[in-house]
Amino acid sequence: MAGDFMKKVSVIIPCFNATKWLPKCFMSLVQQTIGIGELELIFVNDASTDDGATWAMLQEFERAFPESIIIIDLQENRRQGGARNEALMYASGEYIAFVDADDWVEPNLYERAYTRARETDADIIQFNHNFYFEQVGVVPTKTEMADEVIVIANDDDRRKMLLSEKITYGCWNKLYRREMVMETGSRYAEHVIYEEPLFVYPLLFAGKVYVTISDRLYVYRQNNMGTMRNDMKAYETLLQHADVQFAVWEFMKQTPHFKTFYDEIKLYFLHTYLYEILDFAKRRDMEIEFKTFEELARRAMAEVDDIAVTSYAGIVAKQVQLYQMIKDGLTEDGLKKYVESI
Amino acid sequence: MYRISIIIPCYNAEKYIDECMQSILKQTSGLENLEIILVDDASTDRTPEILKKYEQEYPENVMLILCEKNGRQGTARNIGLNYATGEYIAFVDADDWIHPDMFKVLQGLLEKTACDVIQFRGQDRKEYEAFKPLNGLKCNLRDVSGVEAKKAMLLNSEIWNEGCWCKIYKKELIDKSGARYAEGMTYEEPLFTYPLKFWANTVCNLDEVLYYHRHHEASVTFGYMKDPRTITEHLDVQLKVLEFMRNTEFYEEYKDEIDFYFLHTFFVEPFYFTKYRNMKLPVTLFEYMCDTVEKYVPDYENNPYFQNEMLKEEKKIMDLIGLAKGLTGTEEQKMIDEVQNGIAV
Repeated sequence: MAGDFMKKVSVIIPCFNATKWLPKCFMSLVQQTIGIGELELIFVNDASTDDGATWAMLQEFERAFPESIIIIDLQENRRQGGARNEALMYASGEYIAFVDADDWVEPNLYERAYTRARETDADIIQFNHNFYFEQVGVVPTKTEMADEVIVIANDDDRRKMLLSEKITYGCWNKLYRREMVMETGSRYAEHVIYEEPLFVYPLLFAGKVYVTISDRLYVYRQNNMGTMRNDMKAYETLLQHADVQFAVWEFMKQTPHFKTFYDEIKLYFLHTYLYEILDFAKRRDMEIEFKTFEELARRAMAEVDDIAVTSYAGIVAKQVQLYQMIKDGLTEDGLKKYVESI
Repeated sequence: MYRISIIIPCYNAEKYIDECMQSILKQTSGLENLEIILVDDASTDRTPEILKKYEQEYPENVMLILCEKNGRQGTARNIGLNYATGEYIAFVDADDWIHPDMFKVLQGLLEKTACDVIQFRGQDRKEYEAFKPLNGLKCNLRDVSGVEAKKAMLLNSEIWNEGCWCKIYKKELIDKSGARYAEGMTYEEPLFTYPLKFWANTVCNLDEVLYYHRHHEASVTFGYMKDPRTITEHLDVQLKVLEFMRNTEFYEEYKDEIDFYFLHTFFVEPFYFTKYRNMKLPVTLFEYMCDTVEKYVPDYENNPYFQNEMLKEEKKIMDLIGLAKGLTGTEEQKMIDEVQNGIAV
């Protein structure tokens, strides 16, 4: 049967000037206890600017495991989101996973996650992770994750799951059933940071079974280089975050779920598009320009029915305070005071 | 007058089934010789209740079969076939509708010709609207019992295409062949419609639109069309067709035609399908396709049909099997992508 040729997991690794840590990542993938034969590793060179060093390394990888590795060379830089999207077009495994080039994974990641996913018929399986700091080594994240199987039997089950936020919006701590991803058509935002929710969020509406396991199977390298830290200082990334969340909202609008789960989708949109901007900015000692935030608020108001009304006011009182302020008319002073209070 | 069974597989059809049923119940031929077999494929909406009402209102003409498990259209139609008592069989999809004169016209033609199959035309419509009056009823009766005539028919979808609902079939033909739909998968029709061609002696082509197919806006970005299973299931069905035909008395005489049909649908068509839907053809799938062709049709390069000038693009695609040897997965993928890019849709 045609379906039998599928590898168990397609792993997608976007690479940009990645030679420093990619070998460790690569080794952790080819040494998976599930067996490299069951995996399809897709490395994407995101138009690296290191005189071909990253691409040469990928070619070496492919020579080593030609049956299990595909390498893609992008002509134009599209950042992690674009690189992952390109690879998604070629992935043919039963499940899809994503690994960042400067991270690595535990040897039993795919054996454990895939086996559990098949046991439970999971559409998405999410696992826990550790951090790695150069100075101190591997450190567990404070996040606790339960061993749980969430079965969506009806719309209310889904609402409960959405509100619980047990399934996070990051992409690399999960395995996704490929057919569900393709049918949903969700893709990463390109050329920006915080690109993952556009991919993950729509999938929360597509699955019947969501599974979490407490095993810490992924090691996330925290360093001063790479995408996150540098950019975190850049003001521009706040606006990128807003843009991506707007794109999530636009995507959901064209699905049948928009009507059924309007309250929940609206809650998520306003929270991530408005509240989180202020929250992120404050944590990084940045201040968002009043005119900019005013524009975001105006856009949000134009999109939703009544910005200050939500059936979930009880659990988002702080946010509702902001939305009410916006509805009544935002002032620079009012916004300043609000930000101080969060 | 012939007794005609109309088989309608129904799955979550509450929105459109009434328009479908009304178009059948209001046939100008009257219902006397019509047997409507409704097969509910374990719907989860109000379809079963709606169908029960029709069965209650028309007990002489409507038979309702309720499936406990969902088996998809192929299974549902096969179940209908097992219960059908008509001398001729027609298939209608639950969200489509038919011309009010359809069975009057078909009965008339069957009276005159008693042919094995009548193929008529259908039209895509976005929604239910008034149909045009028929004009002239131009029809063409062909004798396809001879080898040359049959070979000509096999490659001409104008005479006999792979769809199931623009035709009416003599039940005897279906019984002789043992043909049935593929079960549990999409693109299930060829396993039923293709083998029948070989047992048929007479085909009548009616150049008239009698069937209206409801066109659903398929999204470009998502939806079932992007589901990779639509490709893998298509492959599975085409392999089943080949295996079915190889077990018949016809394979000896029609080997080139049967092999060509397989190579075209199994190996060439996926390139077009994926291109049309903005999908890539992954190298792992491509390798499965190559391996299967080499296993089942090792002499594919000698098939005379690919020598035809008109099929240059198809030949180019078939040549990939040989060209792929010795290449890495990445190189193969590049080659596939290049060929796919070159296809005009």
